Amino acid sequence: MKWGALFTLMTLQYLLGGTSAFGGESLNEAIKSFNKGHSIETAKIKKAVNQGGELQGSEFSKDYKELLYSIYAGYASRLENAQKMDSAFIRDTPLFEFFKKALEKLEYREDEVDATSDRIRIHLVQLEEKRYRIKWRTSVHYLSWQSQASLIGPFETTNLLSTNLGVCPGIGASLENRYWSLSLDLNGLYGSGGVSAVQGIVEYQQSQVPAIGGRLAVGGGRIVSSSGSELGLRASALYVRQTLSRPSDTQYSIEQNKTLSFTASIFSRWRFNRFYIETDFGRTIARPSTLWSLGFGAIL
Amino acid sequence: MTRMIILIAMFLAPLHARAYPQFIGHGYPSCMNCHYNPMGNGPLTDYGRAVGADGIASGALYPKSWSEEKVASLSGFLFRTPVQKHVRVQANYRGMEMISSVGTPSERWSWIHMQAGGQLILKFLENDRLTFVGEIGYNPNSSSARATGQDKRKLRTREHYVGYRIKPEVGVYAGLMDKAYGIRVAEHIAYSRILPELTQNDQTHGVMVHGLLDGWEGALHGFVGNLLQPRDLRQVGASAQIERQIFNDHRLGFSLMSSKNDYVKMLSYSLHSRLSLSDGSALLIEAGQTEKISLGSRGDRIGRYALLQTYTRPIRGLYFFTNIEYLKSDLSNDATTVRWGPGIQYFPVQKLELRTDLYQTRTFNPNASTQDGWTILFQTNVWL
Repeated sequence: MKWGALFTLMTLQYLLGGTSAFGGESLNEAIKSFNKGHSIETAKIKKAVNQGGELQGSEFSKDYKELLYSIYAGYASRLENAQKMDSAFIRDTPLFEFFKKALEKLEYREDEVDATSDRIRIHLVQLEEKRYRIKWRTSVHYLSWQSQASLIGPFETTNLLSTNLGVCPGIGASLENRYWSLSLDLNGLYGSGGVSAVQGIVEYQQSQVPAIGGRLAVGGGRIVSSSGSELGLRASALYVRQTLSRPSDTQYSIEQNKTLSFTASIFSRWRFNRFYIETDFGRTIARPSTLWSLGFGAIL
Repeated sequence: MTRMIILIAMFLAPLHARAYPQFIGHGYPSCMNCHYNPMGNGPLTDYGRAVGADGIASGALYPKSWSEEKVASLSGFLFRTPVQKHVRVQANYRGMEMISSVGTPSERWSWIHMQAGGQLILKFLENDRLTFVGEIGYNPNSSSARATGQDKRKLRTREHYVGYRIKPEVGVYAGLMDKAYGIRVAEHIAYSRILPELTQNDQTHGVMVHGLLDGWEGALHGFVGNLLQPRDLRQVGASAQIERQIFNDHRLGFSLMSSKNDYVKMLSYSLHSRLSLSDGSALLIEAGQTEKISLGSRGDRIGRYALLQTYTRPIRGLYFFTNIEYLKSDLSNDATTVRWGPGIQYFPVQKLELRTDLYQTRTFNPNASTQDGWTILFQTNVWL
């Protein structure tokens, strides 16, 4: 935004009484005086700040410099009281910066200006950290899980166990700020596993049984480091189709788990700029199965 | 046969050392910052103890009126500030409740005294250039040693050496130490320590040269085995570990080790990385291979391992970590094992560590599918 437009906006604010909510009447009066009562000095200030020129503090009266300081302090107060980066905050920030630069050039109340600026800078960082953003990402996970089945014979039932490893490419989105994240991920799944009997007298064994499906996960996490390391909880729905071969003996049949299962897990994520590594470890609800995954991803 | 049983017992005893390479996440890439042994493990320097008190342990239980300086001043032996600079005494105890075969008919609970020892450090010359470090402790019996009647209740020293820094960048260390190889993670049962035989009792007598130069750190270690062992069991050889600082905060390293005794010749090599992700978050990664050539009747074997150890620190003093390990103990065999171990490590106050580990072991074998194995550990570590 051009400085001219900013000052028009500032004047408009004054005319509409928009500054009273934060700065009070003193800021309104100061802006009025700045724009109308000291036109020559104000023109010099605008030129120096906008075009990068020098200013001699001795050329300006103490009253005028005090006026600039009161406007600066007024905007500082408004920014400091802001709880979020709303449109008023975005509008006030360059005006605050303008008066800060003017006072720096005039070398007026330097210590107080520096201290206020530091406070505002910290507050800006804090507001920025609280601001939620949507981030899209893509990832691939190496996922392992176990599933159970039963081999039902004429006289006995044999428990079968399948241990699987699969690859899950997918996309996801998260709503996150510096401290918290809420995410939704959708991944396809392609894998395979070995199946064998774990209990019973009947032998059954199959290798590399294909498994295809998908995973939908919702998670919430706490971001615990400035680099974005994250620790959180996740709930997933895992859909897997894996068909075990039926024995040639027609007296035997196979009863498999349902294709849809639900998992609760703990996840962690470590970021390297746009890229991240993620681990996930959880239990399938109502089934004796543990799921873990190691993922690699990138923020889009 | 007896010697083999002793070797197996030494393999299986689930002891832990005090080495925390993950503290690269706190801005300590070199172990030398906090340990007398520049490769980590063993007694802490005065600075290391103060870091443990101020930077690692939670401050929540201290009176609010205590400053960080006050807390650090209590980090000396028996909570005292050392009054002289040449002698340091330290003592520690580690114990653990282990629940093995969780959820099976053979589930077993047992308390294990892992380590109870004392350390004496003598240091002389400017900047402690000359140091003597000695450690002696109660040698607990492993369950396998008890089962086989190898009841050897005795004291054991795992570390005694003399160190001399020729200049700040170069030091020579001679005596009994851990071999310079890979990432010295705290978990002795990590596959990255079992396969190259770097577990809790695998220290060796030897001479190690350690150096630091322009973003490089490394050690060359020549060793003759543990002289307290029978001569035929001693692994004689050399190892080297070198690390390069990358992208300011991280380390990338390579290790090589070759050794032999009367029964087996070993060659191990690994790549590793330690990544600092600020505020206590860190990733430790190592992948390596060990070739064991039998000099007797047993067959040769090549094993491969990988480790990913992850850390986050939600609040000061509390760490969530995961050990993810891969093992293919014999490349000629199709079976592989993945061990996944989430855990919590908590330092409520200085000189006290509480830790819980959950280990889930899953075997991938094309010919058989087996139930996961589960182990839970509750550890307590106290040092004075």
